[in-house]
Amino acid sequence: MKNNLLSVRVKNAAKKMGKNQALDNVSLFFDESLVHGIIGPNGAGKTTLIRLMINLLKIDRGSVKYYSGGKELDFAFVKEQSAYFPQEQSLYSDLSCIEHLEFFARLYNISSADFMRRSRNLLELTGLLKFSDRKAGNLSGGMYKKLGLVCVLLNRPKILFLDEPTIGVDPLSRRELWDLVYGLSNETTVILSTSYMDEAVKCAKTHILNEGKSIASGNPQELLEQFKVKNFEDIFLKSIA
Amino acid sequence: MKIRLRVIKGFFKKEILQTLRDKKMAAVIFAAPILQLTLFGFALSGDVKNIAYDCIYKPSDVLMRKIDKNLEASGYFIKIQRPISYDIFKTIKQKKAEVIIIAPFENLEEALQKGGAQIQLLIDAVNMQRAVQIENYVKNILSKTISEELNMIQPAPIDASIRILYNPSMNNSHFMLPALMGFILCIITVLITGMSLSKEKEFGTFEKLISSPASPEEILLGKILPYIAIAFTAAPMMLAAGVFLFNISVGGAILKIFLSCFVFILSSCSAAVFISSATKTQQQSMMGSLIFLFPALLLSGLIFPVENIPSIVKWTAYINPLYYLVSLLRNIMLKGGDWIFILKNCFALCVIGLFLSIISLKKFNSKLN
Repeated sequence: MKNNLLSVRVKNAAKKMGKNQALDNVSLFFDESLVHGIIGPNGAGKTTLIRLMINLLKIDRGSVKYYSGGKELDFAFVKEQSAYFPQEQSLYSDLSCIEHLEFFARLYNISSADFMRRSRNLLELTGLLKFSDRKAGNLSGGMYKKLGLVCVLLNRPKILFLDEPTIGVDPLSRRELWDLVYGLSNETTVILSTSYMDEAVKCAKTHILNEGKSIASGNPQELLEQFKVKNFEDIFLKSIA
Repeated sequence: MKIRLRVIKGFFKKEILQTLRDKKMAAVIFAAPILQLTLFGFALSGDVKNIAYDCIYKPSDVLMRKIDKNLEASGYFIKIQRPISYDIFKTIKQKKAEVIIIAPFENLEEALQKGGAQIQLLIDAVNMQRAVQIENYVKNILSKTISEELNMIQPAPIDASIRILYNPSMNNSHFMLPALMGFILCIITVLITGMSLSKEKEFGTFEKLISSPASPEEILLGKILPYIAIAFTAAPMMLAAGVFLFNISVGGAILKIFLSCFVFILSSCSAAVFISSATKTQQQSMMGSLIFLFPALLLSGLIFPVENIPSIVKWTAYINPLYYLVSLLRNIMLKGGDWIFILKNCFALCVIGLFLSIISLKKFNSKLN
């Protein structure tokens, strides 16, 4: 265990969204200090699963439990230690990068000294420092996503949920975002969802969802061997067949 | 309940920055109140003016000529130009005249001496309230002119000495302006607070807020307090406009006015949160606000006296925050404000505000279900 990082166990989780069974008896374990990828096509239940894990949705059946050092944690404590990067636009187009950081620093109750240090580090790391005064609405797609990530990283979360962070960004920005995510994996348990199948191999552990059900979970290379396929798209084709 | 000042301050700065940067919103908040107050202050007048009239009498009728002159000189009546082919009923039907006064066949003075003077008034009564006022105006001028010209001493069985209190000039704008101020304040508070909350939901930023460590109380307070401050800045602006444009007198009652406005803003902000808790988009929030504002206006006493509402539905006025503000501002600005009256009404506003706040907090969903 590194720095009291968090792990999550989802057990028999079920959630109905309207008439659609978004999640059906899903059981997964996300162990600490790894980059976990929840992979699946659109409508597989990835966003629903993340929203259940961070208590944004009420679970119909089953449970979501957090652990640190083998001890179960209360969600109120987890909320202080976690951060969530939603799939939808989650920034204020009329506020500048630095104004976003100031707002989120207060939202996370970060002291002024910590804010100064962390914000500069993060802006430098993401290459956003020279765009500090630019309004979020005027940033490119990649920079917008980076700013969103910087905002949630200000809190130095022990567990980070990223819902399709690379969707709609150019290949170069995608690579930069992945570099950022890899850089975090020593200090944070990262759980990200993606519908890009090629991103599955970039994760330390991949959890495959399809039509609200968990198909498989494990090391990406082991999964490819298990399904006897060359890429993750073939796993879905095989499972549909 | 977790409330940290630092978190609230963060919201405060963000909301003020966003509001001031949105030029349209800033115009709605800071320019519209003055514009509306000025426009409505002049337009929403209960006085009947510009009455198109004609007076038909013989050229030899001196008394009727005097009445005709006095009607025109009163400032309420405007004499029409008679067309070549003149039909009095057609003239009224076509709304070219609202009242036509027809003298007796003989001269008025002669008819009066005979004791059978009949003056006909043809009044367009499509707008009944206006028609009644026109009738009273004409009757007053007729009676006053006849008395003056003929030196008649009217028999007066009751000697009524009328003294007009609080609004001695009977100036309608002095009565309407305090209520208008209240209504405009209500529009600003309910609309901008409600829309700011719905905007977060519509643009997806709400998800990030509720997943953050900030408590629901902090999020709600952080979203409301900036708009309480913004709405509160509208009160002195409108008051200044009322004083400079309409000559309303506030005497030493500024503190009482601001206290009333402040308590009202708290209460109407709670109503805005209540509305926005049931909406997901700014459009829905605006519709919800209108559903609230329309009955709030009609049941406030601004246009129709609440006393005239049947008792079975009168209670709806008593749960309307705007009713209390209109009563408070009229009482303070016309009578100087009685502290017992002010405290009673402010207490009622606090009760409504507290009730709505509790419901809103319960309805405030920190989940996306």
